[in-house]
Amino acid sequence: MIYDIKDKSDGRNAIFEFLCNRKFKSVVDVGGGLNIWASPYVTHCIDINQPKKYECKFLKADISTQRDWDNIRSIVAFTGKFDFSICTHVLEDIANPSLVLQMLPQISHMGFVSFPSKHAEICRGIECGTPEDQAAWGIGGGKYRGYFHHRWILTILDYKLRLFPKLNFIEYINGLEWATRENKDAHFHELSFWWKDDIPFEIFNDDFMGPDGGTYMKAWRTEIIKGY
Amino acid sequence: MITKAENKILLRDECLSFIKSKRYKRVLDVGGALYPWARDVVSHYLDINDPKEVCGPEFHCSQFLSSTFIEGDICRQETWDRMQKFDPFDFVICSQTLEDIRDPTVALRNLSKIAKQGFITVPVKYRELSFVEIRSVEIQNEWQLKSPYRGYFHHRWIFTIDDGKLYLFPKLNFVEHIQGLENVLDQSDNGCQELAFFWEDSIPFEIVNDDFLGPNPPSVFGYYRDLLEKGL
Repeated sequence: MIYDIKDKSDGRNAIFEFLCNRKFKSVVDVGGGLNIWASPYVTHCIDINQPKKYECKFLKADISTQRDWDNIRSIVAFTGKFDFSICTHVLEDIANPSLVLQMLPQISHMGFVSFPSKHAEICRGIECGTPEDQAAWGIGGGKYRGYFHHRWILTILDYKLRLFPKLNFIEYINGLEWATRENKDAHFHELSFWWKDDIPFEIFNDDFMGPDGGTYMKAWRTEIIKGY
Repeated sequence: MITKAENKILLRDECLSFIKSKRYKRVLDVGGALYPWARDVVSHYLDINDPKEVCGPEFHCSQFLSSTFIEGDICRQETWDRMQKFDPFDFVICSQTLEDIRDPTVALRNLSKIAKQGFITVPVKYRELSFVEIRSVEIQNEWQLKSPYRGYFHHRWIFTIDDGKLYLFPKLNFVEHIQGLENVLDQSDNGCQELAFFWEDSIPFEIVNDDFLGPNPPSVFGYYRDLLEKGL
């Protein structure tokens, strides 16, 4: 289940406090090899990139492939599940986050997941916001939405994680004006949650891009506004 | 390896002729159940959509003759593990499917494990980067769009073939803004239809830059520009 959803405050402070108090034996960071931000408490890292600045046990794996997860699961079958997992700012980057979401509860008892809020991912100009940047980066036609390399927009509705593919048509659909950098109610940094036992999630429209463009886009626009 | 690739002529007829000439009995179509153009030669369909449910039993009977339908999500490894328990297939077809799915690499890695040879088609990059889908202001207004977008709304990947290897580019929203893609589009009127290829033993492929969209935006935009110009 998903609990303790945070869309404003920095959820990471709570992680430090929690991990400090609980003194877990095994804490794994999934996909954070380039920046083990909870390094004092992280004992293992699962990633394709080996952490350089911090000594923890490195389990090399491409988290987008089932075979590599099978290897991790065989280790876990021998050692037992990790006490806690951290997966921050990873899901939005990869082609198949549903695999990671299925695997996390199979390798750890509970965990913390974070990603950019939908406000950050849909507003324009959070990256490449100035005409000078756009000229230097070879970008024309105005500011694009969110972060250029993110493939998914994630929301939470009724304690279920929802994944929306971030496709190119979103540059032009109407009805997303609520996501602006000027909106004082928008929360630009991240959305985070804790989970225990399992992570309920769905890909919008069961990942079916139909039945036609108009219907799909209308539903996409209507559904993404819901929840966090 | 990729044995023959084309983007200017349709290779589908050649594919059908080849299968017929070899008298292959076990031919699998992956992802093509709703548009079964190769039904004359296909013995099995693997798809997430059961055409019987989507189109009704009449469509199923007339279109699929005696072929076998196997339900499965081709983005999931377990589907392919299940397929390997079947007797090997003589030939496998995967047509206009890879561009639609969230993770085509699972299929590309596994197709050669269930057959020694096959045929794949995807949209040509020229169509995927031009404004092909929103053909009128009426549709644009009906779909509540401010402007037309590149390619087909539901496609998640752009493909090229260069030097005997299939390259996959994530089709993300920034492609609407990259300057310099005009060089790719300059070739769009050369009669390109679909990118199609035959393969044997394995399918060499790579997600651009090893699927790392970095190290920074300008370099990514730069290699999209440069690499999309190359190859078919």
